[in-house]
Amino acid sequence: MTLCESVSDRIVQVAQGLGSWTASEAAHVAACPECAAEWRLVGMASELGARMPALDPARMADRLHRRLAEAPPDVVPIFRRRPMRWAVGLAAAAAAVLALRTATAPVGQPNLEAGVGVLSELDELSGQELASVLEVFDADDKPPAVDGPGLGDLTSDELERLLRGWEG
Amino acid sequence: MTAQTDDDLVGAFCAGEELAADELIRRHTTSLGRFLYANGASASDVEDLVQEAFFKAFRALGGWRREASFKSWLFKIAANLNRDQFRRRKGRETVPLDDHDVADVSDPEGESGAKDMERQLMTELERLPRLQREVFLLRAQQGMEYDQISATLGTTPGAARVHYHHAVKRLKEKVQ
Repeated sequence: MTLCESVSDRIVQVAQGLGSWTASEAAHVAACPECAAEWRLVGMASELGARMPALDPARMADRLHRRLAEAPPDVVPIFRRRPMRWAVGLAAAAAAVLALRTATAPVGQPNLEAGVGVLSELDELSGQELASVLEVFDADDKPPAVDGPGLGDLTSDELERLLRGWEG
Repeated sequence: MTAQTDDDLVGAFCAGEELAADELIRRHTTSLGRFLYANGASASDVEDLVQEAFFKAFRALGGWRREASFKSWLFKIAANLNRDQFRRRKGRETVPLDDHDVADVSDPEGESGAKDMERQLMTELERLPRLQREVFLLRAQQGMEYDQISATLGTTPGAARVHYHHAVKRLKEKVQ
């Protein structure tokens, strides 16, 4: 690296007051027209805008806080911001799948709608709870009984899973 | 408070300390305003652009990945806003500093010479390609290192160095 290159790399640091010239660098800047011109240029650039009307940081901060109060920082991940939206969506999707299955069930296959209809408790469930129940049914990969057994007809294992599903 | 780094203050703001924002604003308002002014923003637009840059930065702090310093990120937002403003107006709106904008000085002749030099430099800066101008200002005016500049402008440190030297060469020829 030539002395010109090394001086050029240090000019900004010295102009910003973060360092000072060594004796040899100072002598070089005084003697080298190119480096002297760069030194003057960087000095001028570091002063650009210094005569501009001063901005008031306190006023800036006040305005910022007011605006942030109206439009709060976007700091919460989207899946946590609206906790129930995803559950409702999931329930809707599950209901759509169920409806499709029912509509396309071959003759002789159990009618899921009839099976579900027997469990009137399902009407009272929220979207998330309904989705959980449907997951339990899907996990079994077999349709509920056509003739509609009540909750009392479930095995204790099935009942436990169903309740776990309801409790989320 | 002043002993805290920008990163500390960002963390404090995200944890709910509103005063941390005040300190970050105090630290960066003047330098950001001067950068925008030298980068072509009209004197009348500077305050709004600075305000908007802070607003956008603080609103998005939760999603900021901290790949660069807060200053680099803030200046990146401000530079983008300035470019948008420039495009909307189809060019720079030149608003020279009038006498009433300038603080009283005890050395009117020296001040007049400084104003002339500043005007000359501003005119030549305006003629530089955008990236050269922004790299030059971030280095010569703001004192940023090349890695900070590259993070701010989305280029590489090597390319930033080349842009800087091109800008210096051109400005040395024009500004006497």
